[in-house]
Amino acid sequence: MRLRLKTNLLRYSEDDIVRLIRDAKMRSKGFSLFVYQYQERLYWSMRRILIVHEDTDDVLQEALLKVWSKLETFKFESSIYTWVYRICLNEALSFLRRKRRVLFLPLLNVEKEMQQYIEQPGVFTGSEIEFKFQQALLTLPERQRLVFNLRYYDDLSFKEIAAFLKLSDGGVKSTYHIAAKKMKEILAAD
Amino acid sequence: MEKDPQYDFSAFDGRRKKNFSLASDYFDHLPIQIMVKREVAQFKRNYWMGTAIAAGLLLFSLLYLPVSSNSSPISYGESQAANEAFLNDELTDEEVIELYLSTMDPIN
Repeated sequence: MRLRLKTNLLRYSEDDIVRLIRDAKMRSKGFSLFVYQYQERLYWSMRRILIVHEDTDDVLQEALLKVWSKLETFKFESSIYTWVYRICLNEALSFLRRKRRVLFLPLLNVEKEMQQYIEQPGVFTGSEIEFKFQQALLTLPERQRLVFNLRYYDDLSFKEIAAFLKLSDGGVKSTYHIAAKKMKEILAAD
Repeated sequence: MEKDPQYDFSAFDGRRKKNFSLASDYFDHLPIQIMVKREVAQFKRNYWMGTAIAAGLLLFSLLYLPVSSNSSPISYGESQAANEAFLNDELTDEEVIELYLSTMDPIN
């Protein structure tokens, strides 16, 4: 029953969802369908940045509630997924900033905490080599890790990353190359 | 999208996999949780709006509505009578002012 309901919900295209959201009376339904359709994609994008499930869950819920409250003002100039992704990403970044401020930790300690988290039994489910890759990623400074994540996992262009992170295209490009080079070195050393 | 062949991490290719543990029914619950939170937020918004309106009405009534009291220099009845007399053109402006002043306590 639940599977059939889920399959039915996933049958809606982005255009269908946008049409529903544009209609004030159907907006709530359109939003629910959007959540069903894109929750997994958004979750995994945020999880790779925040690593800890509980943090990802909080951030995602907060971000989606923000999306709901701002939905009336959305101009439909970009794709709705890009707009929501941007809100989620901003929420994740301010979460990391808040976490650093609250804990008064030096920059790399949040990543250290994430490293310790993935070392717990049962948290990381990939192969050993994938685990090494993830660990190497967590040794990078925040900006490099973010840029690498967005480029490597989410397949964003340098231009998109620059727009999301409010950086210059050139800056993003060089940050990515530094990060990727570091990753290569760390992985080669193992 | 531009490719980065010089940084090929295919040997570590966990890129499309979801390598972190997660409850299998998480994505069944998330939309429901969001829906509930949306409703709660809406309720809170309505609640605060209702409270604000009630507080506004109370403040308005305290500031502007005449209240009958023994200590008041002009009673509600007197004030009403003066108003009605004025509106019915039974009294001139000066007479109305005089009527009001006559009911007030003299200044020491």
